[in-house]
Amino acid sequence: MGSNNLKPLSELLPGERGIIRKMKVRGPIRRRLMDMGFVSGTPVELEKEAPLGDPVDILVKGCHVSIRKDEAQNVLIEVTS
Amino acid sequence: MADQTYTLCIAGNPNSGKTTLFNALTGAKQHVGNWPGVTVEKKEGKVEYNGLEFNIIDLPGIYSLTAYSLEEVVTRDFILKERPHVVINIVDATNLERNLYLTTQLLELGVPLILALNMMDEAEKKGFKIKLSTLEKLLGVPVIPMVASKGAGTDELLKKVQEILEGKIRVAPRTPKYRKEIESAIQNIERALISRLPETFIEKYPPRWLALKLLEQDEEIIKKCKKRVEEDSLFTIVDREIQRITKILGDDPETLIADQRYGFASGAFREAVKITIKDRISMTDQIDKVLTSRILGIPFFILIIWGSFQLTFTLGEIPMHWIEAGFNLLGDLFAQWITLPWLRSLVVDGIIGGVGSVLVFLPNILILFLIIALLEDTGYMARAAFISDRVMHFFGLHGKSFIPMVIGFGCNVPAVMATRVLENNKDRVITILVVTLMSCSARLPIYVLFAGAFFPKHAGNVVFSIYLLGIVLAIIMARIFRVVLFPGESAPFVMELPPYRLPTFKGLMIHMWDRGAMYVQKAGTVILAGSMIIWFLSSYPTNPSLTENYNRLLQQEAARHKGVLSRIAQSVNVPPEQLPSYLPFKSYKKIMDSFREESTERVKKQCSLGDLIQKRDKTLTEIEAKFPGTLPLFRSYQSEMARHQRIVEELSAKMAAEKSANSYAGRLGRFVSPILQPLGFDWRNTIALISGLVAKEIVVGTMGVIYQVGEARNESKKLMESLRKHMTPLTAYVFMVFSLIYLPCIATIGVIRRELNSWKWTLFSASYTTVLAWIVSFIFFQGGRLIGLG
Repeated sequence: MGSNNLKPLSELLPGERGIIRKMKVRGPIRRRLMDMGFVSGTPVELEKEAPLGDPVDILVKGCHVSIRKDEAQNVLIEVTS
Repeated sequence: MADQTYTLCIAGNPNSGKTTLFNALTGAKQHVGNWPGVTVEKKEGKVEYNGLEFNIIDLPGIYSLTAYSLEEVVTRDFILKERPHVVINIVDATNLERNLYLTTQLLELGVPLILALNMMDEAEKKGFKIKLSTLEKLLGVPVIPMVASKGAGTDELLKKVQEILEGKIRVAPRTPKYRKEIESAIQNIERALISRLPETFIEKYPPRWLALKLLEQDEEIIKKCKKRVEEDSLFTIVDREIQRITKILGDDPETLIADQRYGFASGAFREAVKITIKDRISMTDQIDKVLTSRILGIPFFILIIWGSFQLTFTLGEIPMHWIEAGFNLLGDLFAQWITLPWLRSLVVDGIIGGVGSVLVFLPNILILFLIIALLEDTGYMARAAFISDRVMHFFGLHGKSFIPMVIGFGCNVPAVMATRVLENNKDRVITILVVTLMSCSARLPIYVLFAGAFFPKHAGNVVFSIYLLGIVLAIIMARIFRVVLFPGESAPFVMELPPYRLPTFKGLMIHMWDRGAMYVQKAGTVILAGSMIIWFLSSYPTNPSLTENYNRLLQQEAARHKGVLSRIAQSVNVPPEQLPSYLPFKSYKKIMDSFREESTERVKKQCSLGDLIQKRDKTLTEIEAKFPGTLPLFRSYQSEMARHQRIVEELSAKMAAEKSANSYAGRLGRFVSPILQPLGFDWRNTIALISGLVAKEIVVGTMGVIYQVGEARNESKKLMESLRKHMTPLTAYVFMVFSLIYLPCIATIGVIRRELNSWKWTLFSASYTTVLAWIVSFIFFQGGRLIGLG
């Protein structure tokens, strides 16, 4: 599996699932995301986009977490379905 | 009586039912305050159980024990420094895996811990079968199942606490074991720490935990250690270990440690929980299909916000009138009792007026906080932020800033308090700074007066343009503040969308009452002091040197009036004070009065008055025939009464105007008036603006006093005429602009001080708005003159 199979979380379609493979996010928000369950190896699903297109609702470890696409762009996903 | 008070604290994720458990344990016996030095809320309550007295502390809701937020630092500092006898970690059983991540970190602190497994009923519905004994064995701490919203399990919890305190159970928290490389790094750093740090410090902070935190590069802990270790060798060791781990394992220790904590948490979850139902569509998902959907999401959002706004202000208006009437009554009572003029003014205008001006907002605030509690406890608040974040982010704000901004249109005081929904302090500061630019309802009378006087045909559009200006300025200032005050700080938006839940009535009530009481207690003192200062400034000195001796003029007028009346009285041979009840006069008056009434009716209906006049004249001459010579005397009596009233009113209005111009506030107005001259304002405008510091409603009243027309309701036409004589449409518009932007009222200032817990930000808010008001007004006035207006 090369890293060219990876896709930014922000580019998932609503309902699409994947597994976090790389966290490129830096700074304090990286820690925040980790605290909310964004660690590599974790399955995630993009539930939906907000009515205005941003932020997105991500299902991770059984919780809905809302993050902006700016941040989601730096979470790389291996798409599973 | 208990001979010792034990300290318990409740820690857990947001939305895990922490506050519900706290309320269930303590009931109404609680006290809300702030943690020293920070604006994080601290709740304390007492409970007695089996002869033991407990002091329970509700710690802020957190996801982790890093130094990401103030709440996290407050929590871990409290647990490590204050060493509560037992830490209760409440977790949401429906969301066990993620909740156990915080539990893992609490276990690492090595303190006596009980796991309170909340929402067991929902977890069962969700198909979770949790083996409590397995979980207890894996974590090494007691596990109590409960449903906090129904009070189920609280007795068992307290019983377990008692058993721990009496030494019947030993709590031995189990912690994750890290990979070989990390464990050896931890040991190396631990050794280095023990040899370098003072014993008192090590006693509080377990060295293994410190070592972990140093590997995680926790800023707070690094700072703490740097203060106590002089040489750099400790940090050389830490850096070397971090580099070594990163090289061998290909990732930084922080990530690796988090990974393994999750591994520990999900391992425990998988072993202890059996999921019997799979992929059931939850109620929350169904509700969200509507409330956050692409098409219906925004209409529902607007409807809910609009409804909240309407409820706060229309429902709040009813008790508001009662409170106002009550205080007016109280004022009248005291005005009668107290004879000393200065004391009467202090009590009636200063104290009762000041307290009244604080308490009239109470109904709004209680309703608002009830609504906010409802939105928060049901879970909609997070959705509202989710929906509005796109727009607010563009303005440099946060999704949750939206609600305070909307409330600001009603009143800035509850708006500032509503910023509590923002967790991030920077977002809060910026929101509070710009929320005062939302034109509150107290400013509306000013716009109505000026727009009505100067732009009668376009009044609606003019007022709307002022509101719009406020919004545009708020957006611009928010962006500027984001860049200038908090440069380089990203404003992250990582927020849980918790499941929808039915709030408990008790929780809502406690929530509402806490905030309301805090407003009355704390803000009340600042606002009261402020109102009294302004009262003093505007009513002292009481005997200024006036251009004319109005009291003497009034006395002269009274003497003249008396003379005229006694001459009339002499002619009809009755004492002057009996003139109004003198029979012919009484009859004439009755006839005239009823004629006036009927004729106005007729005029309204546009009918002729011919027969009415005839009837009047006929009855008048009939009485005149009975009492010859009384009709002309009555006519001169009538005109004398009218004349006297006019002169007294004129003199009193002039005196009031001069007094207010000569009061300290008036002198201040004259003194600062040159500063406002470039905006086209004269000293009269300046005094009105200064009086608006108490409450912007007062500006109109002051205008009335200064322009000598009194404050009576029917005088607004007269006031508009005087305004048109003294001001141009341009200065009128600029005056509205200035009123919109400058310093919010004393009440808002008091609340900002209380909410941000900082005089620095309070002063900044007060001064930047005033400077901004000057600049914007200057641009409008000079620009308007350039293009030939005014």
